[in-house]
Amino acid sequence: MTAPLPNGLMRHEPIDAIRFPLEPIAPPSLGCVVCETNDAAAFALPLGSLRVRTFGRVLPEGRDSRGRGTLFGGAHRQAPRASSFVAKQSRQAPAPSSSATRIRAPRDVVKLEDRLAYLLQPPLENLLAAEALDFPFRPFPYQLDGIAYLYPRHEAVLADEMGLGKTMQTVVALRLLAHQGLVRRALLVCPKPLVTNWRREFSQWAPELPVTIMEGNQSQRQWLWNNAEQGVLIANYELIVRDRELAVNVPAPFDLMVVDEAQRIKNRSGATHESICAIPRERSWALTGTPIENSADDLVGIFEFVSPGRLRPQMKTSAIRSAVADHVLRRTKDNVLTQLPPKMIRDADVQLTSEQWATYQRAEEDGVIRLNDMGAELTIQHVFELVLRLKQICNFDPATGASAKLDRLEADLEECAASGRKAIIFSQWVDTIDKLRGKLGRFGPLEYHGRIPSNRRDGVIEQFRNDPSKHILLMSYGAGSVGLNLQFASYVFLFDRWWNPAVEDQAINRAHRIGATGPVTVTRFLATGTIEERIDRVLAEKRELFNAVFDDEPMTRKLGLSRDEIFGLFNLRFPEPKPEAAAA
Amino acid sequence: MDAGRLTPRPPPASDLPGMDAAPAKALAAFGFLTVLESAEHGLFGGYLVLSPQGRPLEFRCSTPVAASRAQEILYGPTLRPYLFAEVIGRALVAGAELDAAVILTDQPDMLPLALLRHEEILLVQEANVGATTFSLSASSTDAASDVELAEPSSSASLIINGCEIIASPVSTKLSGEIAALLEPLAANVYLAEPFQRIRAALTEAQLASHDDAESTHDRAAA
Repeated sequence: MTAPLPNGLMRHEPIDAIRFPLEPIAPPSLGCVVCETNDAAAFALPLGSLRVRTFGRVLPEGRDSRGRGTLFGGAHRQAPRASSFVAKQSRQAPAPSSSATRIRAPRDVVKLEDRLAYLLQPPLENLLAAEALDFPFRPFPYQLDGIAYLYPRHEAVLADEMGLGKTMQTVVALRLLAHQGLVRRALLVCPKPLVTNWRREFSQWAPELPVTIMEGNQSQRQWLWNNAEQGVLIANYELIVRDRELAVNVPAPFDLMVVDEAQRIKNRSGATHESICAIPRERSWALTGTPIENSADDLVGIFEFVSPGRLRPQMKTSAIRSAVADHVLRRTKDNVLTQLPPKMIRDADVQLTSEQWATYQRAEEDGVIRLNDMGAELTIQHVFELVLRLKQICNFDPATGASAKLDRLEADLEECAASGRKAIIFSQWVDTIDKLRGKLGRFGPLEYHGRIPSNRRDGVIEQFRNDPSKHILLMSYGAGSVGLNLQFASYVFLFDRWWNPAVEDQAINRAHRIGATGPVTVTRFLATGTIEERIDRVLAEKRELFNAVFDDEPMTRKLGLSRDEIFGLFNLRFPEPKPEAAAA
Repeated sequence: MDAGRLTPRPPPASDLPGMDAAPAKALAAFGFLTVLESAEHGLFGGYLVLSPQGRPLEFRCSTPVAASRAQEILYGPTLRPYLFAEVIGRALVAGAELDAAVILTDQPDMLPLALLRHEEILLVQEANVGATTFSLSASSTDAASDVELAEPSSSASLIINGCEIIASPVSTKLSGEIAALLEPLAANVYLAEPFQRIRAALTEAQLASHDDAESTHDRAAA
């Protein structure tokens, strides 16, 4: 039936030659819908049995899909305001399809023609190239996924773990929307210390977008609220509360409003929440690494801004999970930074020595009695003091210096030093670090904490990196958990535990970060039967709640203890306010 | 060596019997035609017309086509080309509003459509052969596409950005002419990529159809 052609193609015999004696197969039925009409009657075509038969047209000058037509339009495209508005055209060859990032329709897009319009669009990489957007460096694939997630959504929570680039993803998505003519005026609200950081990120990832910081005196701000018609306005939370009336009564809704560190609006009765939610807007994006800090109701507060009514207080976890599934994008480093070597976490449960245990029991019993005796004078500070006292005993017995944790640590460090590897040991107390330095002298300990002058700290890191006799670095959480690159360390020991897993994560990530050449072993010490175990249990319950909603990996988010939980560590209750105080 | 010619020169396409008349449509664009095979329903056809920038201009899809057992036996090996090209491809392209200068397909069985249409029908395959290549000087100086002529064992083929382009047996175009035709699109689009869009859209349409059928059934039951 076939014969090879000179070009290698197999030529088929003419089909008509054998069709004659056969009953022809009926051609498929077709139908058409013109997407831009938004005319429901257009679907009422005499369609075949499958009822699909869509043919749509998405014109480059179409309109936004929600209430304004088709999303992928590029309507209202503005002429370049300045020569720098459109960056130099990228002339890279189109990438193979295996690396394409697809923009998918949000679930609340229900019309088939709209859903098909999303699916038929070019990959994100093509859109970025077509808009001639240049970047300081190529985003990671997961960041492109995040941009593709934000881009079509009017209601979105980007809840990536800290450090994955939520800011950059938001800036690029906003930039693309601006180039498509879908966003002309955006409001970004963030904590005051982050305003300069946002401005820097915009200058790096969207240099052509005009960015205005909302500041100045009352009349200057009033003018900005009423007259800043294009570009990005950046305001801090306190200013939003102060300028509530101005912000709520802007001449036209913002095309996009972004709330950074959105846990700041979790309290639904707070002035910040009310002010933020009252600002008129077309799109609402919230950014947070910790969408749930204490309870699922935190998420309700955030969704009052993102998608009012979607969540209600006291909803069941499964219902929340289902309701927010398409509205929250959450990735962790373990999910996306697959090039990192593995991180192995082991919990070292340590039984206190007999001296420690006797001291500990005495201190707790006496301490609880004292707290109970305080009655209405009791404050959270008093409870904190007892917790800290007990945790210090878990490290070292103050009378004898005995330490079960130290015994275990020394055994582990022997192995670490014998293999020529390096370890970082974290504690929250410099006094504990002092004791460790004395006991671990044979491992060549170096110190990095608040008592080390800042002009000596770089030298400490360099010595730890280069001196083969220096096997351990003793660090405090406060000084050493942020901003250091210690990828050459293979072991991390958490001699005592911080209140908040996010701080511990940051400490661990000094060693386990991009550039690490081998696996990192993390050992978390925990004194069994003590306050440390109780704190860990409370935090674990919160992690379980978080996981139930976001299907997340453990130990990656910021979940601290609330006031009631701290009192609950000793079966105490927060005292009722005095009658006169209540009246006041 | 006649490396620039992909196929023997057949008679003019318009002289072929049964060919659809060339429509007088204004906008020249690029058509992508493929078929999604469903074990349950049969063959779904999808036809996507793109602008040179890769933006979708028009999309058509067909209801499923399935041959009976008797037809399978009687048509034999010609059944698939017949279904793909004559039944599905022809109907989709003929019904489109926009004219396409070139129609690309990733299905070899779609190539006989060239017998029925005036458009250039080209097969796109992701190249995996380390063929001898040389640059095609006809490409524009700032082109983003990487155009090469490859010389497998016995015939010439065209490779653009890693996609092998194979002309239909009835094509009268030289490889250089085909490269020039595709150049505006290839500068913006990886030529095998739009077929993914069509398959995704066909799958979505199938799902929507299934949902519609279920809701209709539910309403009827109520």
